[in-house]
Amino acid sequence: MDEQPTPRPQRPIEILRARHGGISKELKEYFNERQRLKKAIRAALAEGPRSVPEIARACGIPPPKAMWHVMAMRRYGEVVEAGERDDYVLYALKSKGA
Amino acid sequence: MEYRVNLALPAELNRFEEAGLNIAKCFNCGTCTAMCSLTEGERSFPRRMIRYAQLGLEERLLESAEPWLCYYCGECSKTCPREAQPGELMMALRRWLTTKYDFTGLSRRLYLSHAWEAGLLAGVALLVLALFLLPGWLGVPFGFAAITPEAAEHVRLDLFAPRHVIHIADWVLAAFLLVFLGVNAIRMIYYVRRGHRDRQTRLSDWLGQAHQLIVHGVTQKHWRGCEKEERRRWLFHVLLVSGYATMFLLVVVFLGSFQRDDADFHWTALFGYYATATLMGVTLAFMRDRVKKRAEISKYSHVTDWMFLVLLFLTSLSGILLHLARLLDLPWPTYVLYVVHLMIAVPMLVVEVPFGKWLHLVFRPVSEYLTAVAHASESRGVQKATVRVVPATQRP
Amino acid sequence: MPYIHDRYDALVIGGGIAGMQAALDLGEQGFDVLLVEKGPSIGGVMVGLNKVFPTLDCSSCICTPRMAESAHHPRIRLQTYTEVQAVRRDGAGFAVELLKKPRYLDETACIGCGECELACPIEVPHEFDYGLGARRAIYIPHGNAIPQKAVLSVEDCVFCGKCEKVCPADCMDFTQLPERVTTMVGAVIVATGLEITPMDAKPHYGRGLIPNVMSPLAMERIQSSNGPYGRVLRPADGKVPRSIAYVQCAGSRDRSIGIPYCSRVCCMYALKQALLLRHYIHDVEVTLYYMDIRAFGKGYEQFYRRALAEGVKVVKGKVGRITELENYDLSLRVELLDEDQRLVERRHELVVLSQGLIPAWHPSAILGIEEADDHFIKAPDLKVAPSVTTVAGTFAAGVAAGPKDIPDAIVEAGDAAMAAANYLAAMGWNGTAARVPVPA
Repeated sequence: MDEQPTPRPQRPIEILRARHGGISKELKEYFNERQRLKKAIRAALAEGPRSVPEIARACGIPPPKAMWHVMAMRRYGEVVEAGERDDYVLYALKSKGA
Repeated sequence: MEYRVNLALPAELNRFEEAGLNIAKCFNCGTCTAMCSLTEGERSFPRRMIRYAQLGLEERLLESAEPWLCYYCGECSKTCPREAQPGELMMALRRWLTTKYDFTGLSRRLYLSHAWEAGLLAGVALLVLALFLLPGWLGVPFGFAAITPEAAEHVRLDLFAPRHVIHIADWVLAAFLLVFLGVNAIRMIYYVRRGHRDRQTRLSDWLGQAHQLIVHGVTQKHWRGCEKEERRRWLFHVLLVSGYATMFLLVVVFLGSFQRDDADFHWTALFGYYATATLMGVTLAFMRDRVKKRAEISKYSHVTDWMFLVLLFLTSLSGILLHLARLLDLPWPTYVLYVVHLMIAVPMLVVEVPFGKWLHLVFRPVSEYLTAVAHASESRGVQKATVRVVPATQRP
Repeated sequence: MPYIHDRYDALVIGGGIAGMQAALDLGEQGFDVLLVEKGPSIGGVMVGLNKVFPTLDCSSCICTPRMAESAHHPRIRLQTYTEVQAVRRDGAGFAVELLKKPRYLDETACIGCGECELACPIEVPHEFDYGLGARRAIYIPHGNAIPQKAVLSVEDCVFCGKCEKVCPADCMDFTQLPERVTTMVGAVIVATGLEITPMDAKPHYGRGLIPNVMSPLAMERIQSSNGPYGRVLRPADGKVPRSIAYVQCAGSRDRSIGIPYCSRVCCMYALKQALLLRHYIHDVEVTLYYMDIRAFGKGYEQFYRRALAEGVKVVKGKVGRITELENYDLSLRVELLDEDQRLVERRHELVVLSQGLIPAWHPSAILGIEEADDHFIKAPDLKVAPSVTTVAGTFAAGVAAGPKDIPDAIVEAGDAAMAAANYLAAMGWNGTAARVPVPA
């Protein structure tokens, strides 16, 4: 950084990005997959409340993976519990009005 | 029956192992049993065996077939939380039990004393030598005395060691072995059944399961239930058994066609080659394992383990050299090698087989047989016999 | 305001329950304490626990007042997200070198509103929930965190800059760099706490790869009301588990994994979790597979009896292998020592490995103090001076000095504080004279 002065003043976030060599390939892949799965889970839940194994089947991913991603969405308020069926909790999208 | 506690039992068992076993280390968690892929239901080991040893319950151990159901994959020793080496304890138990089943007391001396072992082997070897030397002095044409000028020029084993004489000796030897192995097996069955007298068995199961003796004697197939890495060792062992059995049959049953008189090649030699190759190959591989000490089973070698491999190897080596000498029509080397071969093979068969490590060829299949019989009877719902427990205070 | 003065009476390393207690005890006696914590919040392991044995008090309810007190005490300077790099004997005291890791925001300006976290687009596994829950790249460590300040984990950052845009306090500072700070202290107390036995320590317990074979700390989070699932579910598929097994001594008393000692807390935390599971899930079957139950503390034996009375099952026998079945259930191979010594395969829907305690930090290189054979800090005079280490002026408290439960850690922290105070007096440490007044 010392030897190559940047041509124009950078925004602070760009400085941080440059210092860390940008986004790593793994993180980028992870992020993209996460976005894709979020979308897929939303699509699966659009049809009504689902259990984690059902969501997993709908998204074509193993249940442990589905569990983490659904719980992550629950953590940030996108998904809520909507009852129980046969020892499985059902999850639904949080309605916009609520 | 009452059980007497032998406080010296742990120390006694220590005399039968080379690993510096400390039975007191074990805190009886049962990891070894749960790790063992051969243990099953109530046929559980090694922990129960260690417990008996810790408590000095000598009779209980004597009545257990379990040590013979273990093929020493060493998984228990690797995972033992106390590094108490349960696998090595099972090995020590097998040696100790061998001495207990043997009614002569010779086995115990052989296991515990190098002098007895070496002395007895050398004694029998010298006896064999004497058999080829002495008849000459007595004027009997046998052995070195039978080497006529013709026999000195060409190989004439029919003069040096006539087949019919050797064959009779073979049968005597076989009968000797049968008696000792049989008695040992019967004693083992007696003890184990005594330990399980509360479990009734049916004669039909004893008969119906008899094939187990052959199956396990030939294949030791339960060994394959051990960890995957054990498959190679199991295969090698099957080869070894096949080689040993082939050779035994050739010598005891088919000596007439196996021992040739001249430099001819005969088809029986093919079986001899197979037996020699497997015996030498496998014993070499096992010796290499014992030197490298990588697997748990080959980490600790008792002198009898070495003796087993070395004697088998030397028997095969002298046998094949003898065969070569005969094919090359070298009379004197043939005669000398014939005697050397017998000086190794006969002590092995007379001393080691009925009193040493070889006995496992009987005990393993018998233990599997006993287990199968018990299992069969149980699965038919044969009732447990009631055992009257006599309170200790009522005993004289 | 300079955030670190050039001189303190004592440095306490580690902001868990033992470190906080030692700092508070010294602070109350009028000593100035620098309390350094490597994570973004104090509270240690305890603040993440659900409830404590044997009282079943809410753990964070007991822990958070201590945390607040430590953070606001006039004589305690709390320094989070900071690591101790070097401690050298210098005259009567120690020269201390610290590395302050960047939060990428002005800590004094952050109001802890969490707007940045809500704006952040990426979720990653949350350390506080042992990976079961999610956090974002910028996040408030957890609801009970002290300080309630955000921290940006730059490894997870996608550099979108949204946090900066939404921050109402305008406190983001992406240009921060790690900062080296030096100070002088009269005494050092090490309270760096614990980690649990790695989940892959025993290959036959699934090498940490079976989702329904859990660590006990993860179970604490699952049971907590603010846990990752909000209720007790199993991680593989979100099923309400109806049959749960605890494998005792899974990570202690085992020479084959190099941890021969008893970790002293596993029996009790397992009983506690088992008992609570009986409360949380209707008709759940909970079985502890154990070698022997060590309920040695005050009220512990009674707690054990209570757990049994409330339906927790105990089975004597150490589990050998755990196999995952096709529906994420587990099969446990175990010898039933009290039932005919039979070997059985038992099926359970969830398994908790009662892992042991190992030291979280090995300070010998930095502090020059010796470790004992068990790798915890050595106390050469264990019986009468349990907190005294092999280096004069350096003391140890809590699990850093050996496995122990919370009451013992607190008692030992008090002892370490007392020993440090005595030491400072004996050394004639003139902390007070040189002390710069601390703003209240």
